[in-house]
Amino acid sequence: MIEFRNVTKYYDNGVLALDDVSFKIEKGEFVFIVGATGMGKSTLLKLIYREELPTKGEVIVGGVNIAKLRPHQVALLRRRLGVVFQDFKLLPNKTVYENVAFALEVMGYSNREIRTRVGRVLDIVGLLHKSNCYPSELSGGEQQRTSIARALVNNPVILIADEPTGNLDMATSWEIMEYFRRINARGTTIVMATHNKEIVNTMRKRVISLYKGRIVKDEYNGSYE
Amino acid sequence: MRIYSIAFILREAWKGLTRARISTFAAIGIIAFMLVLLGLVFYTFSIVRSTFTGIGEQLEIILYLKDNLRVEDREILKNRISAMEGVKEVRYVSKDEAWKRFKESFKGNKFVLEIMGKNPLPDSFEIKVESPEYVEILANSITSLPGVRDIDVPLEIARRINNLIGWIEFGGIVVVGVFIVVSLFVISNVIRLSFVSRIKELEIMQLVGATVFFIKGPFIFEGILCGFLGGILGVIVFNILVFILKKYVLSTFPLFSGFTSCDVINLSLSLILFGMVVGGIGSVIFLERHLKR
Ligand SMILES: Nc1ncnc2c1ncn2[C@@H]1O[C@H](COP(=O)(O)OP(=O)(O)OP(=O)(O)O)[C@@H](O)[C@H]1O
Ligand SMILES: [Mg+2]
Repeated sequence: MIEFRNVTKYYDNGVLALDDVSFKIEKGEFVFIVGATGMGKSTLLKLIYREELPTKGEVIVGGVNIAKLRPHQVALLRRRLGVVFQDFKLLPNKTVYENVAFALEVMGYSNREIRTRVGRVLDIVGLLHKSNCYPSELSGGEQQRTSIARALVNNPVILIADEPTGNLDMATSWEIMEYFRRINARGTTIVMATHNKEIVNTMRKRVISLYKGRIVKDEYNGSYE
Repeated sequence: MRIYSIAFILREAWKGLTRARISTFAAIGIIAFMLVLLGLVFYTFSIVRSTFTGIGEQLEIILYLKDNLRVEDREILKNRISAMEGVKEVRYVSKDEAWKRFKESFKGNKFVLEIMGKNPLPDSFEIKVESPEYVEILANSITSLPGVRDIDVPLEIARRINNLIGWIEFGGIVVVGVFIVVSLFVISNVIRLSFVSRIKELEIMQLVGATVFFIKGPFIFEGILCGFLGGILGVIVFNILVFILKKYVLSTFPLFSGFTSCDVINLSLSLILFGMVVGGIGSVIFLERHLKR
């Protein structure tokens, strides 16, 4: 489903963010990407949804090399992914409801379909009562949950989550993780970057550890140390 | 699918516009202002031009006919001249009518009339032209026609008026051209700037998988809509100004009265169209500059 082949990523300013990274994630896996801050977790995820391109090596998603995609195909790829961004990336001039609906509108769903789907995910993340708020009127955790709702709303084949629980308390984090576990059991591949030791250690999933842009550990049934 | 898409783009454009950002209102106001200026400049030049063309239209070539010209030949000649390019009207003035007019104008002046004695005037045609630029060309081609004794051409005046109109047109094209370029620059930049606060929007739209069509559509529509509203506002102001100008300024100069014509309706429509096109251009510039590949 996702494959990195000797991927090296230099940013334009010369920073080496990923250094000769190779791994393979099969369909239906649940993978944690861990590592201290600045070790390259977000960069790795950005390469999957092609916000960044590798400097060297190849990134294969769903069988295609992302470097070879044309703009229209990039859009189609992103529609099959759900991404929870570390910085949320909510549209400031749209309400919670509109932000989530937007992901479906761009795909040309009917209004009725949009209403039911958006209602359902907002219920899951517990934000139904904030539907009509603008992002500036939300707490950090609420913004994060809006971002999660938007990532889930199109039933993605792959869910990419960058610190999705970074702003949430433990109880809410566990609710979200429980939901991730459910959709993973239904076949969604999940790649999640996190600092949250407790979650990683409790879930007992595959864990890829990054240190200064290199994979230092890749264990099934792994843990955070 | 498509229907939802189009509806989506229109809805997004409308939302964007009505989200009541100051920058949108500012943009509409500035567009209106530029269009009013453009309209007034164009209007002024076309008024001045039409005034001088109007004066030029009063010019007449007088063609004196040979004596004893047969009526048929005279008619043939008249038809031939009427068919020439630039001829507005050909009027036959018989020697008797000319004599009557002459006596009329020297009524009371026994001396002149006595000297003249019997009617010495020939038959003639009075030829009106469509515009002064034709005077010289027509004069040249008419003199050599059979049956013509002599012609009387207001050549000097025609030349001067032509010259003047030439300069007015040249000046008008230059000034209007400059104004068009300036408004193009100002309006497209105003539109672009009114979007700058939304660069993040472009990025997010791309990240959630919106195709270029979905991203660009609302912005371009909004730019066009903005240009349209600016155009409407500008045209309203422009027409009020023209009304005031006509009523209180132009009517006090007899020179302008009668000749002044400018197709204000067409000009207004052109201004609105111009606003829309340039609004669209502004959006496209914004998108080209900020949409990541
Ligand atoms: N757009 C960018 N331009 C230049 N350098 C960047 C850019 N994004 C990240 N970096 C650098 O690349 C390195 C890896 O960053 P990355 O965001 O992948 O870290 P991270 O593991 O996600 O950290 P965190 O846990 O704090 O989110 C860092 O040194 C960072 O400064
Ligand atoms: Mg990060």
